[in-house]
Amino acid sequence: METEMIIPAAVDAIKLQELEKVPSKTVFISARLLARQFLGQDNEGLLCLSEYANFLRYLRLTTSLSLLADGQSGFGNALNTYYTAGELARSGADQMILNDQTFPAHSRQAQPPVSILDFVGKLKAAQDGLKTSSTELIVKLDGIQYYGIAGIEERLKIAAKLEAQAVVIGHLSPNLFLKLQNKISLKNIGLAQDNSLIPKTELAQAQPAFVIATNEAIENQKNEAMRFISYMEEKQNAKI
Amino acid sequence: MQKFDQLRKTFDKAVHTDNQITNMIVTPDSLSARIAEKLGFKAIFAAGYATSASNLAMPDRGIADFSIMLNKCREIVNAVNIPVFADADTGYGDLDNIRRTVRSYESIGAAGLFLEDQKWPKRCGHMAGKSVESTEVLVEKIKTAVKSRKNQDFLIMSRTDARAVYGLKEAIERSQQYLKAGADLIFIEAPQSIAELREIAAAFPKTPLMANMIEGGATPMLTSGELRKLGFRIVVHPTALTYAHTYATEELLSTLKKKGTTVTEQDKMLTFDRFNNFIGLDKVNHREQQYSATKMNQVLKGLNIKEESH
Repeated sequence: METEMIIPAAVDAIKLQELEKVPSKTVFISARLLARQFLGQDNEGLLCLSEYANFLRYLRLTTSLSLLADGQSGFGNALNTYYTAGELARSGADQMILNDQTFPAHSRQAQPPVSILDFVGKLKAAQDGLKTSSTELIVKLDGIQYYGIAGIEERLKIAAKLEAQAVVIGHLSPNLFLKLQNKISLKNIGLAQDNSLIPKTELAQAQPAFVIATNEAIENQKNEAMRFISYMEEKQNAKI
Repeated sequence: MQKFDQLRKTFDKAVHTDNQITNMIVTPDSLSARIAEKLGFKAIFAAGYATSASNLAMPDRGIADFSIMLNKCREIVNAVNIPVFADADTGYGDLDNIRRTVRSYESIGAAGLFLEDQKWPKRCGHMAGKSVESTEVLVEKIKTAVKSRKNQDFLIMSRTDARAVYGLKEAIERSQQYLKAGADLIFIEAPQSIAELREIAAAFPKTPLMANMIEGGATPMLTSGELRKLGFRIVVHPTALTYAHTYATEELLSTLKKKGTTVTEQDKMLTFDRFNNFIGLDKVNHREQQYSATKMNQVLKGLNIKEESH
C-alpha cells in the first residue's frame, strides 16, 4: 500500500468516482457503512461474506482506486478466514483488513479479541488464502481495551513476522490513545477512526502511517440523511 | 488473478489448435463441473438452458437475467481449474449493458463469452418461435465487446439464430459480418443436417467454430471426433446433464414416495464416504488442522516473540 495519510471510507460508486479526482489512492470499503446502508443497522457482523463480496465486485468494476476490503474477523475461524481471503482477492480487493475480534465482529463496541493462538492461525490462514493473488493483508488490532499496550506490542511483532503488509489499531479511547502515543512509535502503524471519541485531525497529529476515516464517513452518512429530512420539511412547510 | 490469466490462455490455445476439438460440457452447478474436471474434461460451459432449469426451475426463455447467469458462471469458475466459457445471451440490453457484461465476465475469470442476435427475451436456440435482430445490432455489440475486454485472450464468440428464421445462407452471411466486427469464434445455432454443418465449416476455414449437440434438438447428434473431422474446434453439450439430473431425481423420488425409503436405491448412489472423499472433505479438514492451537503454538514459539521482548 502506498503511503497516504487519510484513507476515506465509502460504499458508493459515485463517491469512488469523485475520490478519483482527489489525491486519495485507497478507499476502505467499510462493512459497517454497508450494513448501515443495506440493513439500517450499525453492525458489520450482520453482513455475511458472500453479501459483502458481491457488493465489492460491483465497486471493483467502477473504479481504478485501490480497494481496501473489510475482511472483518474472517467470518468465523481460521478455516473461514482462509476462504474469506481467497474470495475477497477474487472479488477485486487490493488489500484486505483482518481484525482480531471474536466472530462476529461488531462495529461500535468491538467484540473481545481472539486468543493469541487463534490470532496467529487466522493471520497464517489469510496469508495462505492470498497466496496466489497480489492482495495484501492488513491486520487490525481492535482489542487494546482488553490486552493493553503490551498486547499491542506482542501482536505487532507477530504481524510483522507473519509478513502482514501493515497494521492498523482501532477502537481507541482518548485515554488509550494517549498511552499508545507515549509507548509506541506510530510511524509505521495505521490508526482507525472507529468512533467519535477522537477527531480524525487528532489521530493524524500523532503522525501515524495512515488514518482510516470510517467515523467521518458515518457522520457524512448521517448528515446527508439530516439534510434530506430538512429539505423535505421545508417542502412540506412551503405547501402549508 | 493469475489463475484467470492462465485459464484464458489455455482456452485460447486449445481452440486455435488444428485437428483438435474442445469438448465443453454445460454443467448446471459447481458440483457437476467438478465431476467433469475430475473425469478429464478440458473446459466447461456455463449456459442458459441449464441455469434456467437449476436456478429457477424454468425453461430457457429469457427469464434468467444477467445477475443469475453471471453468478452461476462465477460459482463454476471458482470450483474448477479448467476454463469456463460463458453464455451471455444477448448481452442483456444495449451497448452499455454489453460493456458491463463483458467487464463482469472477464473479471470473474471466464475464458470468454458468446453474444447472440436473438431478440430479448430470447429462447433456447432449438425452440420454435425465435426472432432475430437485424445484423447491425449484433455487429455493434461485438465491436463494443471487443473494445471493452481488457485481455485479448478473453474470447468473444458470435452466435446467430438466423438459421431457423431466414435459412442457412443468411446465418452464414451474418456470421461473416460478425467475424469482420471482431468475433474470435463463430457459432451458428441449430443447423439441420450434416450437409449444413459441412457448409458452415467450408465458409469459415480459418475461424474456430462451435457446434451444439442437443439431445432431441434440430442438429443431428454427432460425436466429437466426427465434428472435428468436419472442421469444428468446439463442441458443446448443453442439456445432457440437466436431463440426466432430472431423470435421476424423478426416479429416486418416485421410489421414495412409493416405498418411504431409499434403501433399495443405494446401489444407484455414491456412498457417504465416497462422496465426502470426492467433495474434498479430507482437504478441508486438513486445512483446518493446519491452524489448530497445537500447530499455532509451535508457530508462535518459532517466531521468538517472547524472547525478543526480554
